[in-house]
This record gives sequence, structure tokens and C-alpha cells, in this order.
Amino acid sequence: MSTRSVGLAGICVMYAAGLLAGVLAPAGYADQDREHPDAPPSRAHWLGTDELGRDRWSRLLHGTRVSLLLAPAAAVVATALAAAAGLTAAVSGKWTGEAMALAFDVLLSLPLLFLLLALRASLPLNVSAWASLAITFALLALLGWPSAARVARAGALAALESTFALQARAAGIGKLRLLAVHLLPHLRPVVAAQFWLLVPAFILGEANLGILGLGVVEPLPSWGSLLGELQNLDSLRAQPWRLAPAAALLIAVCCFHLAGKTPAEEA
Amino acid sequence: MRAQKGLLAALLRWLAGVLAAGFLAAALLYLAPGARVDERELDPTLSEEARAALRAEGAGRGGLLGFYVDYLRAAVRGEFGDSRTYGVPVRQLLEERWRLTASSVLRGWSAAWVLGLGAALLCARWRWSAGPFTAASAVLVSMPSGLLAILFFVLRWPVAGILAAAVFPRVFRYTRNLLEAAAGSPHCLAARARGVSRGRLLFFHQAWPVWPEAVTLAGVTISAAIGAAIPAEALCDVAGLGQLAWKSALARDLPLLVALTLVIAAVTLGCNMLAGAAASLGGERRWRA
Amino acid sequence: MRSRMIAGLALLAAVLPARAEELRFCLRSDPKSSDPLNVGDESSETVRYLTHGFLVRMNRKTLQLEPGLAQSWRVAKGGRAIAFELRKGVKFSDGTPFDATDVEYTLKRVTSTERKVQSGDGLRRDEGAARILVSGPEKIEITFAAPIAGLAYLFDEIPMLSSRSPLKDKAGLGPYVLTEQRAGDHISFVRNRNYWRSDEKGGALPYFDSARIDIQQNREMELTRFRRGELHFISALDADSFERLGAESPQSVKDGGLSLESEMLWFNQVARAPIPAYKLKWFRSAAFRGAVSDSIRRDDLVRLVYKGRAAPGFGPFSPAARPWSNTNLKPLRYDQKAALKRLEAEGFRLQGGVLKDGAGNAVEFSLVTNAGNKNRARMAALIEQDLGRMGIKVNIVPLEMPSLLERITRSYQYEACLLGLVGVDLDPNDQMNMWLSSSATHQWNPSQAKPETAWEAEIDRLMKSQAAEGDEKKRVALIYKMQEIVREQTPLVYLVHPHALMAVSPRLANAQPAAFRPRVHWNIERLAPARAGEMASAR
Repeated sequence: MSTRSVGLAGICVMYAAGLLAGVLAPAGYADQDREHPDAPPSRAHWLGTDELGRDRWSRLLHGTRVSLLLAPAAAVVATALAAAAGLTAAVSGKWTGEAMALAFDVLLSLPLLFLLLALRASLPLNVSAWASLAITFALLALLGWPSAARVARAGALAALESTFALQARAAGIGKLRLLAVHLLPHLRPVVAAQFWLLVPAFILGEANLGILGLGVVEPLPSWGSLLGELQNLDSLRAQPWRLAPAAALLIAVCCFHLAGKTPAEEA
Repeated sequence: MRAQKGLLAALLRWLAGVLAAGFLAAALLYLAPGARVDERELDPTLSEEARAALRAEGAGRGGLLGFYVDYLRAAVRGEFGDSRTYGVPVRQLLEERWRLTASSVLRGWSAAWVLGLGAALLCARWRWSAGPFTAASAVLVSMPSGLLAILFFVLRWPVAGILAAAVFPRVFRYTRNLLEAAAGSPHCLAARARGVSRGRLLFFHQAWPVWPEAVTLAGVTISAAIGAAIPAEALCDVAGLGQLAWKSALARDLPLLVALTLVIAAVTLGCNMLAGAAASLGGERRWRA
Repeated sequence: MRSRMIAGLALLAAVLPARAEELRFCLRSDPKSSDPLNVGDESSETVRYLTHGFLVRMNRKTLQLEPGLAQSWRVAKGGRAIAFELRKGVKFSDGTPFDATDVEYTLKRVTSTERKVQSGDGLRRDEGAARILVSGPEKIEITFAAPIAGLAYLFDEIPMLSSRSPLKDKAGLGPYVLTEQRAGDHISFVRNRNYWRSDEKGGALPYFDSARIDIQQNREMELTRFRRGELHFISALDADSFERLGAESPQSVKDGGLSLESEMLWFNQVARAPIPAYKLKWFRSAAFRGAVSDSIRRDDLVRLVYKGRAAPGFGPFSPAARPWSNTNLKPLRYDQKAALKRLEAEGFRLQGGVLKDGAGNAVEFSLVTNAGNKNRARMAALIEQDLGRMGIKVNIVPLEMPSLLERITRSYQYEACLLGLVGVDLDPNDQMNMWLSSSATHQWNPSQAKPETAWEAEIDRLMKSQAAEGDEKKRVALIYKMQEIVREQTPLVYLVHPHALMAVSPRLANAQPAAFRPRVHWNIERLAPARAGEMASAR
């Protein structure tokens, strides 16, 4: 069994757990058992309860659904933007291409976390927690594409020098056709690799926002908001089960990295 | 003459990038909610006169373009205005802090390269040794930088360590891939067939030819280390440029954030440019060879 | 021979006062102001506390005024005048002598209506300027145009400045002199060699030769550093940290009891706010606000969020604020039935688990709060569930502070807000700007040209009357009345009054942690390294 298969299998298991959270979770993610806050693991609460008496296991499952559904969706958007921008920069004239490449570099040197905070703060307030979360990931997607675009441009430039592209250009094929029919299929592995890199990057991005208290809105859980609890590192010795979200994140990110390996890398 | 033109074009590109980054940062702050508000306005013990003065101070800014042009004019003279958060000249803040961040970034980046490249070479020489390094790389790449910063602080490890931990996985993964790709190339296969020793094969036939790509990666990882310094210094409360960037963004400190963006953009774009130039030079030489 | 030498060194160490140690603690942010007369934030206040002297000082434990630069004082003319007798031989940090002309100089600056400063805001009266009479190097009398409530206490926040020092306002009469300030990093001080105060045995104060304040925003980091022994105290701990630290080092944590702080939520009642008219109508209804207040289980907020180290919200004055807290009022209790009854009387109906107003609009509002505050996030989650039981949907929105401030002070694009109020002073005048309808910090409906409701007009009247009342009993009666109106109208839904939780290292002697700010360093000149402290107490 290849490491890629291991990664994909792990991802499937996690998706199944997330999608079946409503069935597998013994309680709702927002249900508060106020008489049993901070309870240790028991038969009723496999991972204990949080400070408001909410079942940690149920919140982890629902958080898995939130993080694993939205991060790939955001990665699809970002990868599409990156591919479009990168390829356009590659096939455009020298000056336009250079200007676009410069724009990617400039965007990469901006304080993007601040941009995310500012955009998020401008949104309307009366949206549901799910909608707010979807918007957060959409913003991550809108801001996270320039690095992937650089890679796509570099790949496209290299491909343009290859024999098949030269022959196509010599045959007088238009730019758009060259892009869609010849370059895009050739660059699929590069673009796919960017997708597999962006998924964990967005999961981590949301987790970082969660640690700063700007991630998912209460009471909806995500791995990011659950990880926020780990700031009390000293309490982890007494309550190691609190590490469960970190373990889930670690496994998921590893699985995505394994799944993102190209056959050449595996060999 | 051609080289001089190329250098000039690269410098112009760099300058345009830096100026554009500064302008975008200024525009962001101008348009962001809360840009003209001072936290002290919420203090009920503040007199109405003092509150009015704070409001006037916030509202006193002119247009965005005018501000940026004036700012750049002053910046040419080495003046970046006064920080709203700290109440001192931005220049003083930059002078006080750049050494600390530069030292952390350089130490962290160097450590990441020594460890990452070392690990990649070990893995290339003895494939069975890849397990622990791959696992370490996977763990580090899966840790949110915020969590990493807290962990390092508790363990009393320096900020440079956080930066090294953030950069190591990239260096390890990419250099390992480069070495493995080089191992399968015809010249390596030929060298192996000729009975070249494994050490010689690794250093002179696998590692040496990929140095242009490694140099490009070096440039990119410096940018990554600078990027990682912001959350690391902010969460560990280390008085460097990263902490300044974080606080200035949260406090909507326009002169400070624009100055920091200019500095960060200058360094990252500069590193990328130099790495790109070195790589293309290396590529040309290799081609000629 | 060697053992004798070691014994000798040990003896020498025991005899010499342990002055070499540096007092270390943290502030969350840099001081915003270096002008001692324009101090509005806690960090600037702390620096001023270290570097400047005051005529009188309030003992934070007993809440009584104690002599400072004035060895005695007398309030006369029904609260219109105050006379001070100053200490002799006092010098500023640069050696410039201090006398009544310096007090006159400072008070002229404070009471000036041309260039208004933040200190002594309560001394400036519309009725006319103050008359200052210097009748000798140590005697000075100030007469005001009208009586001023709590007159002597107002001098606890006015730093004395030199009229003659070449260092101008930088010359101070406090226990320390500022030597270095690195923005965002630290502030260093050394002992003021000319400090006028000495201990009971005539020993020089302060006991610590130097002090260093680190700027540390992250509370977890501050706690970790305290555990490592890098800090002598933490002035404000949250309940979580307090419990954790208490479990491993019970002698280090100090619960100062109820503080003057309040956590509260309020609804946006600004007429021009860009919110739907039907929502504005709910928010302007006292019955709606009261029903929301009745629907919140404050005991759960105290137990789950504050681990029992808080009291359920009571009103503008926490039960700790004696004699101002109106003890005749009943504590706020969870009563869902009463809440529903109030709402039904206003035309609201609970249909299929959803509360709807008379026009059929489902009751739903957003609750903004500042991001990164764990306690507020938890309280919001509990409130969301409590109100959910009443059929009210709450959308919690954490925002970083500048965005939040923009919404609540400029654009008014918000519906409800959850924030806290940090009470600094026990006196009701401390809250004056919050209650006056014309004020910008009258949060639910600020800067009104004239009071929009009769009850706000009445609160305006009561607050102004008490500020001009010299008789404390009459002031208490006025404040009691004001609290009754606040209870009835519920413009602010008081949630909890947290305890003052602190950490003090066993290495620090003479600390007397108090519930009122500054909690630990209010007697900074007497704080000492534990060994020197033991010596001091033995003397």
C-alpha cells in the first residue's frame, strides 16, 4: 500500500467521522451540561466535558466536519484562482507577465492576517455561525492564492519552453487554446499539488484564527476553536485528553500531505 | 551593458514592488473599520474635552494618496512619523528592534537549513533514516504557529527556534525531493555505474548540481522565516519587528504599519530577487558546463 | 579557614539589607501619556504612581485617606474649601525644594479652564474659578465656587509638579525615577534618592533599589514568567489562571474580594442607528431589556466562567462599593416566567419555541464582543443558550477592538454589545460620564442633545445633584434613587462583578493586595524583597 493511499484512506475515515457527526456524537455540539463542567473522560463523555459542560467528543466530531468540509472548498477556490492567474501571467506578454509576477510578490509581502481581520470585521453581523465560518474560509481562499500562483506561473513558463508547446505555437494556435488545451492538462500535477498543500494550510490558518479568538463563532466548534484551549499548556499534564483536537489536526494534515505526494515523490 | 540593464530593471522592479506594498498597506488601514478610533475613547473617566481631542486626532488625516506621497517624501529623509500606539518616532522603534528580529530570523533560518539540509543528505545516503525526520517534519508542519510559539515559550526555547521549526519542514522536504530527483538523473546513474563512492556520489553528483534550486529555496525560506517571526514574536511578547507589525495592525497604527510593510517588502522582495539572480546565474553556468 | 570565610560571608549577607534586587512586574500595554496631568490609562497611571507624589493617598485596604506630601488637611465651608499643611524639607527627585508655591502652580494648571487637563476634572466647576491662597511655605488653602463632593479624595489623583525645576514635569516626588523606556518592551526605574518618606524606624524608602516594568500583553506568558520567579506580582489574574496557580502554590494567589468591575451587556438604542425599526423598538422597551435580564442565569456565569470568584451582577455599584451600593434592591435573579410575562404584556408571543413580536418578527439579535477574551466568549455562549430557551436567537460576533469601537462609538452598526467596565474610583463621580445622557460614553444612546427619555433626564439630575452635594448621607440617598431607576429601566444588563484576583510571590514582603486599583503596588515604596521585609517587620 503506497503512502498516498494511506493518506487518502485516512482522509476518507476523517470525512466519514465528520459527516456522520450527527449520528456518532452522543450530544449536540452546543448542549451544555452545566452541572458537569470540566469533567474527565467517562462512559458518558469519552473525552470529558469542557468548562461549560459540553461534550468534547461531540464537539470534536462536529469540529471535524466544519474544518474538513470548508478547508478543501476554500482550497478549490484558491487553486482555481492561482491556476488562472499563474497561467495568464505566463502566456501574457513579457511586461504583463512581469507585472503580474510582481503583484504576486507584493501580495505575499502584505500583512494578510490583518487583511483577513479587516475584511471579516466589515461583514454584516446578523449571519449564522455556519455562514460566518463559510465567509472566513472564503476570505482565506481569496487571500491564499498568490503563492500557488507563483508556482503555477513558474510551471507554465517551463512548459512553454517544452517541445510540445513550441510546436503548438509554431502551428499558430491562439493563446487561449494553448492555455486550455495544452498547458492546463500538462500542469495538472503541479496545480493538484498546490491544492493538497493549500488544504492543510487553510486548516492551520483557521486554527491560528481560532487561537486568536477570531475563528469560528461560538457555539459552533472547529479544530481551531478547540485548539484555542491548548493555550493553557500546563493544564495538559493533568488533562491530556484535551490534546485530542491537536492529534486530529496532526493526523489530518499528515494525511493531506501524504495524499498530495506525486507518484514521482513516492518513488 | 546588458548586465547593467538587467540589474537596473531588477532594481526598478524591486522598488515598484516595495512602493506598491506600502501603498496597499496604507490603503488597507485607511479603509479598515476602526481606523480612526482610539481605544481610550471608551474610558468613562475621560473628560469630554480629552475625548474630543482624541477624535480630532483620529479624524485629522487627509486623503490616502496625499498621505502616502507625504509619507514617502519624509521616508526618503529617514523620517516615518510618530507611532500612534507607542507615542514615539517610528524610526526610533525600528532602530531599537531590527537587530533582535534580524538575529532571530538569521539564526532560525540557518538552523533550519543546517538541520533540514543535513537531514535530507542523511536520508539520501541512508534511506532507512528518513522515518524520524519525516515524522518530525510532519508534526512541525501540522502545528499552528500560535501553538508552536506557546510551546517554545514554555520550554524556554528562543524565538529563533520557532522560526527554525517553521522553516525546517520546507527545507527538508524540498531539498530531499531535489536530491532524490537528482539521484535518478542520467549523470548520477552513470557515476554509480562507474563505481563512484557513495559519499562522492551524494556530494558531487547529487547535491552540487542542484544548488541553483537550493538558492532559490533559500530566498523563499527567508521570506517564510520573516513571516513566521510575526506570530512568534507577538505571542511570545518579544520586542522585535514582528511584534511591532502585529500590534500596529491591531491598533491601526498607520505610520508604523506602512513603515514595517516597506521594510518587510524590501527584504522579502530583495531576497527573492537575489535568489532568482543567483539561480539563473547558476543555471547559465551549468548550461555552459 | 575556608569554612570561616563562608560563615563570614553568610553573616555579611544576613546583615546587609537586600537592596540589590529589582522589583519586577508587568503591564499589558505601554503608557499612552508621559504628561503626569493627562493620564487616562492604567499603564500611565502606574508610571505616575512610581514617579510622582500626591498631597494625600487613599489606603487601598482601609479606603481611608492618609497623609502624603500634606501632613494634614481640613475640608471647610461645607465642602467648598480645603486647607493643606505641607511637610517640611521635601525635595523633588532633582533636588529642587518643594513648597506651597509648587502646589499653587500645579493646582492652577489643574483648575485652568483654558487648557484643560485630565487630572482633577472634578475640581473644575462651571460656577467659577477656584481661589488659591498661599499663607506660608507649608500652608495653602483652595476655595471653590460651589461645594464639591468627596473633595479631599480628588487630591489622590493630582500629582504635584515643580514650578522651579529645570526638569519641569519630569521632576517627581515619587519613590522612583524613570531611567529608561523602550516602547513595547520595558520601563526601568531607580530609587529616588530624595524621596521624602521613610519607614517607622527612619530607614530610607523604597526598599527596592530599582524597578522594572515589562510590557507583556499575553496573560499566559505573564503567568509562566511569574511561575519561573521572574516577576514579583501580577495585579490581575483571570479565574482560570488563579485556580491553576492556586492548585500548585496556594500561598501565591490572593483573592481581594469583589472588585469595582462589572461585566454587562446593553442594547443599541440610538435612534439614527442603521438597524431595523422593529428591532430598535424592542431595544427601547424597558420590558424587553428587563426580560432579557431576567432570562440570564447569572449564578451559572459566576460558577462556570469565574469558578465562583465573582458575584452575580447587581447594578452600577457592585456590593463592594459601600456605602454607594443600594442594599435595599433585591439581587437580580433568573426568572423565566416573570420574563415571559413581561414580554407578553408588550405584545411578544412564544410560538413553536420562537419568540415573536406583535408584528410577527422573530426575535433575533447579534451580540458583539471583543475577540480574544475567553471569559466573554464563554459568557456569550451561556447567554445564547439561556435566551434560546426563551425563543430568542442570539448571534455571537467577536470583533477585534478597533472594529468593535468603530461600531459602538461611530457607526452604531450593532444591536447588542457585551463588554466590561473597569471601575477605578469608589466615588460615584467616577461613573459620571457613563450616566449623563450628553456624554459620549453613555453607551446605549450617547451624546444626546437633550435627554430623550424622562428617566434619563432624572438620572442626569440625580448625578449632577450628588456631584455638588457636600453631605455624604444626602449623596448616598441620591445615588440610591439613581440605582432604583437603573434597575427599573435596565439600560445596562449587569451580568457579574468579578473578584480582584492577584498573584504575589512569596519573595515579596509587605504586600497588602487590595480590591481597588492599583491592587498590589499601591504601597510600592514599602514593598521589599522577602528578607528585607522580614527585617523591616522585625524592627
